[in-house]
Amino acid sequence: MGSRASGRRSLILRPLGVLLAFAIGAASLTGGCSSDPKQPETPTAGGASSQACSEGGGPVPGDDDAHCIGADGNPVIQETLAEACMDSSPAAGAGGAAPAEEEELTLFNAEGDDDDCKYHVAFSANCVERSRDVTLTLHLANRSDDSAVVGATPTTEIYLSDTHLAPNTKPKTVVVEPGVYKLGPVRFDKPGRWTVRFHLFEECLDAREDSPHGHVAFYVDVP
Amino acid sequence: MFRRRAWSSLGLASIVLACSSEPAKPSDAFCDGLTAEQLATGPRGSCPDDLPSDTECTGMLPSYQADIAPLVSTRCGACHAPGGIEASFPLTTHAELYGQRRGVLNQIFTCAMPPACARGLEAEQRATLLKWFVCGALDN
Repeated sequence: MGSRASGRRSLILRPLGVLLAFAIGAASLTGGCSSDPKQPETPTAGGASSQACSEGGGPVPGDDDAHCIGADGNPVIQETLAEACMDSSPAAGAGGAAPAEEEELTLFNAEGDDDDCKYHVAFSANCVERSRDVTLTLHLANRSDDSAVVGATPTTEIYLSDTHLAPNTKPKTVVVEPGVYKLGPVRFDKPGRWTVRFHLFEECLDAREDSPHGHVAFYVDVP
Repeated sequence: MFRRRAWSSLGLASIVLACSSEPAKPSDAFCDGLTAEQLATGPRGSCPDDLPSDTECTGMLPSYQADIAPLVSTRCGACHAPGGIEASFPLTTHAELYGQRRGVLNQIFTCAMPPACARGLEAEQRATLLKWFVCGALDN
């Protein structure tokens, strides 16, 4: 009898425990990391800020990215292999040679492919203004099969020039869902045309062509 | 019992995952080849927002030959040189460092480098490197 009662109780309590565990997890996603009193604004569904925002800030309209389309019109796709992450021998790479010195590419608009044609990347930002905390939302897909890129741990490199970087706001990265990441707060301390460069799988070496390590940069105007 | 623990762990794991907000820390494998003196001896303090302004580029500037080259060789050379795990990203000459100056500046400024498993830069070393990069990374 006692054991049946306790069994019934556990039938009730177990789902409650599950709900509690999820609630704690969800709460931590939204507010659990708040150590800085100056929190980034919560973006609305369209990526626009709920607060008033002057016009002119954000991704810069321009030519569509076409650097991963071959001369024959077919897409250029670099597949990645998890085992290439910590392999420091360039000769072991799919291409069999050390990657050539990379030319940095900065893209217009808010969508394009990473430098090495491994990933398709789209981003949005809430209100982009000088000296305001901005949250960036990043969508990542593998170009080989369109699947969500998980575990990319994206980080940012934000600069106005080679010697002027954005202030160190210690941005946090949160996984929203597979392939979707939020990064923030980031802050632009001067008006102008900035570059936001996302680093993906930064913990992986960049020796092999098929390493998951990747990067992509976009222009962002700050009024 | 096990299931309840598992769910509790899931909740806990979600907290940990949600708060894994520091810049990506390179794996400890990055420090495999380091000597005891080069390895971290404990957790680091917070990363300061101490990038100098280019208006501070007056007077005596750090010298590549006297200050930067020895520092980079000592603190970066175990990995960023031929035979190191980051040999494909060498920083052994001024030309190599200059070619990667913005990326290296960003990595140092955000405390992504040296990696967490390695000994951090001392305040004076950090200030010297940041100032040299901000002031043009000259071959002086």
